[in-house]
Amino acid sequence: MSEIIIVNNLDGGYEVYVGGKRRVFVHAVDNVSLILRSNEVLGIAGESGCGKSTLAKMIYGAIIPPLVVRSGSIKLQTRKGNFVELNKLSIEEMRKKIWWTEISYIPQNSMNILNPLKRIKDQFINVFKYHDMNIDKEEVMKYIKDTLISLSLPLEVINAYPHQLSGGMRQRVVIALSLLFNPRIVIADEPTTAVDVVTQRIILSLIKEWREKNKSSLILISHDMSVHAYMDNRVAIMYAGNIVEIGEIFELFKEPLHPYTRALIESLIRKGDKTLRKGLPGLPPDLTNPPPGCRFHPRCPYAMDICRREVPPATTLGRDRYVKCWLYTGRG
Amino acid sequence: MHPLIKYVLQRVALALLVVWVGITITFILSRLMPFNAAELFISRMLAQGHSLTGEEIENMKKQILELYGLDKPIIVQYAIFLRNYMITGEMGPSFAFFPSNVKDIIGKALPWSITLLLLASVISWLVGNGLGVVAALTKHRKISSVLENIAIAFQPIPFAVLALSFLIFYLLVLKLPIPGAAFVSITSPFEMFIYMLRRASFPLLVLVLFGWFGGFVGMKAIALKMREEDFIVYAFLQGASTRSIRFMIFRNSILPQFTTLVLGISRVFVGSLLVEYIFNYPGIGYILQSAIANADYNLMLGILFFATVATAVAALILDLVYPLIDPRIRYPGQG
Repeated sequence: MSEIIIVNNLDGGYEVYVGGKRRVFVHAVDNVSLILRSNEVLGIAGESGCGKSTLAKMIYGAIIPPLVVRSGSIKLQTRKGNFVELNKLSIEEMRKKIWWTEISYIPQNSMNILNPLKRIKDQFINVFKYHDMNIDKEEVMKYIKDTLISLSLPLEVINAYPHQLSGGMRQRVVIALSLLFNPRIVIADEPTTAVDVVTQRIILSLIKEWREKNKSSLILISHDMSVHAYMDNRVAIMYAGNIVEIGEIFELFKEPLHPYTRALIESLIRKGDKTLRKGLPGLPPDLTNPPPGCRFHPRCPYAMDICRREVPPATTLGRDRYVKCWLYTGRG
Repeated sequence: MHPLIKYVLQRVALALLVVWVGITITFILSRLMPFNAAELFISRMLAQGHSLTGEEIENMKKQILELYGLDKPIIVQYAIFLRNYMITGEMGPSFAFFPSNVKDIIGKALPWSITLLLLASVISWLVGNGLGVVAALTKHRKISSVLENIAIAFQPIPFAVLALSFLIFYLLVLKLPIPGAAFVSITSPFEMFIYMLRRASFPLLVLVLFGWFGGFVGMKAIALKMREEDFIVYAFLQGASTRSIRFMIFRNSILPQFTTLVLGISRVFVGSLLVEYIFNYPGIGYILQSAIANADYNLMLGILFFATVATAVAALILDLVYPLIDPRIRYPGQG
């Protein structure tokens, strides 16, 4: 298992100009380091507004204002084996060399993710065109048909317009589009948020099967811990722009270390458990003005003095496991 | 019957109904005018110094009314009017230009109005919407905001004020000549058309100059919103080139604007009194104005009949064409 994406001390956010000069900086990604290996699923979990989608956009390289990267690097190992620094490439280079062929993106399911004026087959043909691929039309049609069958979609879909499909069908088409060139890395940003649990399982299984067959890597972003439990090899827990804990999925569920991870996992429904689920009091912090020290301290039941003053370092606990919390530094 | 044919027939029937209601209302309104052609004619004679006795006036009035067919009860007049329009296609004589036929008068003026206003509405629509989409997508924010401020500032000003100000500015400040055309002998229809175009060029310039604001403001707003749509963002992430994305935004934004184009074109049949009056252009609007001033019922009805038909046809075309340009709108029975 080699490393194919290395994110090093990535720091950035949204720079918003209010009334001309005054600048507000939303510090959505704060000093994040991550590694994605080949043939693995890395989950990113956290509540709404914790910066997980922003992180995904940065890794994908869609850095357009107001989104800015202030420091840090994202390195990608290409098919040839050499590393490129994604945040040094221009959008035009990303578009031609990286997007869809190396890294692909599955967006959140939404009603109008597909151009309403184009038939499904044209949506596929367009993606070929965007990447200057001249392929035989017959061949493309056959390919689309095979893809639709593998997604258990009826063949009539090929000539349908997006509005004629149900939400679940549309999301399956979107997934097929994203996996069109068999990319080595797929970033899925809440791929199942707007569909019901049955469709959710179908879609997740599709992605899972495809990934296992192609030995690609997947970064899966979801607020839903049960989705992570079903899909991931490793999971990173994000809180207010920080990755507070990373671990192998089974270990993390068995023994959550960070108080936030613990609260997340305790909120899950367990079979046979009839006790009332406890919520975590308080609200996620305002990212334009995050609290000093550990960003979680205002809501943390174990908050100590040092938490309010200093940012906790990453404490490595065995292979693939680290936590950013003063409780585990031995200094507390 | 195929549902599509049924639908088209229904829409055509509805259009005919609209035309009938339209001309009936026009008929009623024309008869509600507080004066009629005979009274106007006599009062004009008196004003010119003809001395007439009361009896003579009464006789003359009766004769004129008989001649114009206005002596019959109103319901009979309406029946004759309907029969003429629906069956024989006759529109009767004009009162003001007696005994010229209404059809001939309209036939002479209509090409002038159509030439000018068709060009004006199509060109200003294209200019407005084209500029709008460019302004929404350009990197040069300053230029687009200057254009937008101009459009918003000028849009509410009545055209008469703008046109007159422009004329004053053009003639008295810039001291430029108005491009016109001397009436030389015209032999072929083609020469006639060229002559018409030359006459139309100056009013056309003014119409386009002050006519693109609405399309521009609307299109810019739509395109700006369209840029943020999920499918545009998704296409960008898929690696679509800037050109493809621009075209996609344009193609999706143009749909609601299409209505204004077709309805604008239908308006060319009413002519534009204001433009034709200001630029002394022999179009339909000019004639409509004189028809109203002279209580020329037949001419009035004739012009408004064309306007009603044009609007009904435009609405019909819109209904039939929209499913072709927007797949989300479907004909009945089309699944």
